[in-house]
Amino acid sequence: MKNKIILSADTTNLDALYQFIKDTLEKDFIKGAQISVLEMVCEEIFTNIANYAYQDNANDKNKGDVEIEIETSTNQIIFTFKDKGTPFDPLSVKEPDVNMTLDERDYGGLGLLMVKKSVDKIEYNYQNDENVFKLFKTITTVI
Amino acid sequence: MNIEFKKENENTVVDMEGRLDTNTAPNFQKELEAYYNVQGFSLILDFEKLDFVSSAGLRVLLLIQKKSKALSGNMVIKNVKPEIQEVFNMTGFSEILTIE
Repeated sequence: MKNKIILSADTTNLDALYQFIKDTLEKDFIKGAQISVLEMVCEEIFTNIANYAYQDNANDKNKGDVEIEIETSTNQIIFTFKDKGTPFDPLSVKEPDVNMTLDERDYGGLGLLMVKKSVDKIEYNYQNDENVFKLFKTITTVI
Repeated sequence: MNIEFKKENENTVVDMEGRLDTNTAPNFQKELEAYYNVQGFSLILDFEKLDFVSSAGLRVLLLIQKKSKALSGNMVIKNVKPEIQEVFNMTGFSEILTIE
């Protein structure tokens, strides 16, 4: 099953995104805890797009859109995020060192790491003037 | 996210419910500021009803943990759900936070 939503790239739309994820996945009997992990993953991606993709037109009230598609099958969920912002390959970002001590630690860079470690596969492509970011997550359904 | 404060002996217990994300983290930080800026503070964060913590939430937890070192304070996080514990493990936060 496929389900799609288009939201303006603004973090005020996160609650709408959570609702969309919940509504789509609950139809496939996916458990609450698994949904929370996926909400967290999508929060990181969406927030990243909201904060950086359309930076060049920051003064423009129309910040640009993000299209989010969820495709579910018996044992896998595929999330696809598309935006028309600045080309950005999240896989090119250097991972932070997670073994740093409290004093050494800085405040950024953890979001993409959390995404990478929470899903099974990530793909990035820039096609038709769009960033296309796909996340693959194996699931266990409860009936 | 809903936050409730209660006093237990010397400790301030913070019951958290919902999502600690990029939208709720700034307010969470603001609400806790008065507590973690005090010398020798003692905070207990109860995560029982918390659904997830995003990187924005981790930033605030890191900030309070750094404060606890500077001010001889203490922050304990309890009732952490497995999926949030997983986030603490993958980011190395389980090594720098006190989780009960």
